[in-house]
Amino acid sequence: MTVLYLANLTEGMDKRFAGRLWDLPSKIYSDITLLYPGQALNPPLLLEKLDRLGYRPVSGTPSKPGEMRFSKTALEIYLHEFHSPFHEQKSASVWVGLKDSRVTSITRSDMDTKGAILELEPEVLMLYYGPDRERRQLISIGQLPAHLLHAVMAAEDRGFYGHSGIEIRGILRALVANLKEWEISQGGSTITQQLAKNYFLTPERTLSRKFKELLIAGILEYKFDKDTILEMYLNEIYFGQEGPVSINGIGEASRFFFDKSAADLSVSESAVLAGLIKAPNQFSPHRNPERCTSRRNEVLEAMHKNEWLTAESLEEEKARPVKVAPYRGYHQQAPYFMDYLTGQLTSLYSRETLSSEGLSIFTTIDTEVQSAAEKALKKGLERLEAANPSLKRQNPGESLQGAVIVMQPKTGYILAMVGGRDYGVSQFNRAVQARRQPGSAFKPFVYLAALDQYTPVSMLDNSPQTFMVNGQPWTPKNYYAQAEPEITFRKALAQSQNLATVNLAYGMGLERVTQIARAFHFSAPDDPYPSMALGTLEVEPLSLARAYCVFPADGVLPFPLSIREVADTGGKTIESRHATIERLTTPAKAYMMSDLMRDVVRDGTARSLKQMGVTWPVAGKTGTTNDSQDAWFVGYTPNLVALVWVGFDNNDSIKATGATAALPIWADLMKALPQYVSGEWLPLPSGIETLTICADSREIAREGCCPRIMEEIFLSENQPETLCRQHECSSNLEKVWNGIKKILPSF
Amino acid sequence: MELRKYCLLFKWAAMGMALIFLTGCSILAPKPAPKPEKTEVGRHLPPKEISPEPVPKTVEEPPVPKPLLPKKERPAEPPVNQQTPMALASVTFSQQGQAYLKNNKPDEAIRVLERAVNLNPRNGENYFYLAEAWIMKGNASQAREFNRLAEIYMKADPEGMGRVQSQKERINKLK
Repeated sequence: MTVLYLANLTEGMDKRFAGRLWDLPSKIYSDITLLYPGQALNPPLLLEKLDRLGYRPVSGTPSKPGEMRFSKTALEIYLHEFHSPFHEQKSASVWVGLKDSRVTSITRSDMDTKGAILELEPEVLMLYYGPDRERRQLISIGQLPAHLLHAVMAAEDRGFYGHSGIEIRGILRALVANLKEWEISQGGSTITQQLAKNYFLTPERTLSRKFKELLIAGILEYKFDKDTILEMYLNEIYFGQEGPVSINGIGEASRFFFDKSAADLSVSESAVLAGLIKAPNQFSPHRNPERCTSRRNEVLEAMHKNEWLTAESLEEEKARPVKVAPYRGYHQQAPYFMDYLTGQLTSLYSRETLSSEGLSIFTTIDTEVQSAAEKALKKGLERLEAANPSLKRQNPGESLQGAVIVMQPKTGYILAMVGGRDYGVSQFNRAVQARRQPGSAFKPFVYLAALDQYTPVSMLDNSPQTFMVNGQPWTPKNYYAQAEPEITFRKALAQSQNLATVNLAYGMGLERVTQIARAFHFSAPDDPYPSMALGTLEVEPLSLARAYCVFPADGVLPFPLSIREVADTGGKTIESRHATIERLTTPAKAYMMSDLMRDVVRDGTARSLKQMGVTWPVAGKTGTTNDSQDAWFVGYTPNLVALVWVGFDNNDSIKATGATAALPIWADLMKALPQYVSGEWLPLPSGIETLTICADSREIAREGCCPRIMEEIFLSENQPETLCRQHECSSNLEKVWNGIKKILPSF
Repeated sequence: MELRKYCLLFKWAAMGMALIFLTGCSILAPKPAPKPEKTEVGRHLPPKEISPEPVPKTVEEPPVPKPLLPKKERPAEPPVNQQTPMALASVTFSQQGQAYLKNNKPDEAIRVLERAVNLNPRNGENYFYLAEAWIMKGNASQAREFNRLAEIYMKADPEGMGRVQSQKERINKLK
């Protein structure tokens, strides 16, 4: 019976343990970074990126992989080696000439060609260990300094290399203590027992579990040598919780607490980490520096007692202050995007596969854009709170929030996603999970739907009216009461006039609003209501950002893409994701909307963008909902679409508009990304006619007859065909007379 | 009194001469249209020269001005063929994509061609080769979408349009 039980236990353990031994977490990568001649750079963002990639600045010429030197005139970098299914990077030195933060030339030691493109390897954004978001950097015992092993043994199990997995004295001592309280309260476990406990068993403290633990420890000692057990232990052990992430393993702990690799830990630092194992949160150097220091000293004393530390070294080490890396919250890169990605990945692979089969997952994220988006949002929200202290909240969980999404319109690549202000405080991903009213940011879809019947010069009724909705009167208002009673289609959108937009929606039929909303994959009710035209349908920010891609992408809606490639441990591609597109409108209509939305930035609600330093061609639309519950700006160039949302989770008023709250964040973000600014605007597609029309009658201008003329673009299928009827010249003589009147007005 | 009469006569005579002179000028030579006044509604467009139109010889009937020809490009924006650094960088990926297609590797080709598109959304060749890659993968609907984009951007290139058209026919033959 006993033999059978043991065999069963061994088999079960083998299955789980052998698997665990070879478990490899999946690595999630950013996209590669390109450097090419003529490219404008944002040096601080690039340097941060190089630091994250493990490139360290040196004073001389970089001579080893991972070294770099940066100056105003050049970036010299010795590349790491990197292999992926689509990126083969040999270790080589590269010279990137710079002038005024622009790349002038690129020269590689391994290639003759000048002017080559430099592709920097992708960054590891996360290691996927499991659903609980553990952080771990695996180490091998050979890399670790002896004093670290000694510190851990001194703190947890000084006789580790001598016992056979179980220490009878420890067990007896624990038994006596536990019998007094009639429950298991004291551990007294060896490293092997702790490992057994960590791997296989639930945290409850019962006698039968203790018994099982002893048996497993025995089997572990039988099957593995001491070094392997210690290595597994060091990679497994828990070092505390930082926000939503648990820190596991000595490699991760040394990176987090001391910002260095475990191989470089000093004696004192080793003792701090070894001391943490007993009660990670109680002895945390961030939370309890005094208790951490005294616990470290205990460990140092124990090391000395075991002759692993001389008396002089002991005094020397004890005198050292505990210096830890500044508390960074737990800065995980693009944490909201990681959650979004995990959702996408788990539809492809099981969590077990992801946490054990060592897949390489290459994403679309550009960490420079991500970092710029995070910074712009943080700064913008702080600026709003400083300008209006009533927006501040005592509880950080209720504070002013925001979301930013940056996409590439033609391919739908998600370059950045920020789902909130602080992932440590709130993991709710507002970029994809929040459903908010877009307000006026929805209007472009209404105007797009109206393009078959209306032209940019069509006049819209902008006077106050009361509509009956389900038997109830509804009187929409314009933001500014003194708006013109009649306004052109173009101006109504630029100035975001509500009354004109509702009248427009009525004019073309409300069902057209429902149709267009559904075409853009927004959910819309079967029974349309007029306020839909003013953006009262709730949308997820990602859907809205995606919908705006249609305008710079010639009328094509891209699928939002986050995963590009998945490769197995051998580097073989097992999954490729490509841009998939769906035609929603004609290139001419898409262009027309972009032209109309350029006026939003030129003369309309977003005209302050120019003063904020955005001087290149941009189109976009602001949005503010009732009582300023939401502030939006969605803006784009031919290369990027970026959406900014600001609001409170509980719908409190932010007391600001899209132009004052969201637009400055957008401007900060775009200014930080010179590498994405081409300065170009969209080319004129077929199906657009530019006509000279009379500014008074808005009909085709009669040359020489109409006193005020202007140019306007029209869809070929919907353009004015009548000549101006207000200014009819009966003969050439009259035209001449008109000309003379202009030349000699005072005669 | 007499002097005033002579002045008035002189004024009318001068005006009449000016009228005859200007009418003569307008008949003999095409007259450029007056510069458009900047209006509030028209602020979105930069002022441009209007192409001169010959005045018809008969003056009995009011002339019917033809609508002005659409402009192909706005003067304020750089011409399509002006190569920005991003556009130049995209060429490398474009070439890589074509090489992958030659080696029957559509997934690899799509990967780099998408990068080329993101760098330079105006280059129709990238859409053309993306359509080729989707044909290779047997996906007619995506091939059609990219073929259509190629058509938009290659309209000025007769040789390119020929390729786009024949590609369209091949796509239509796909199931």
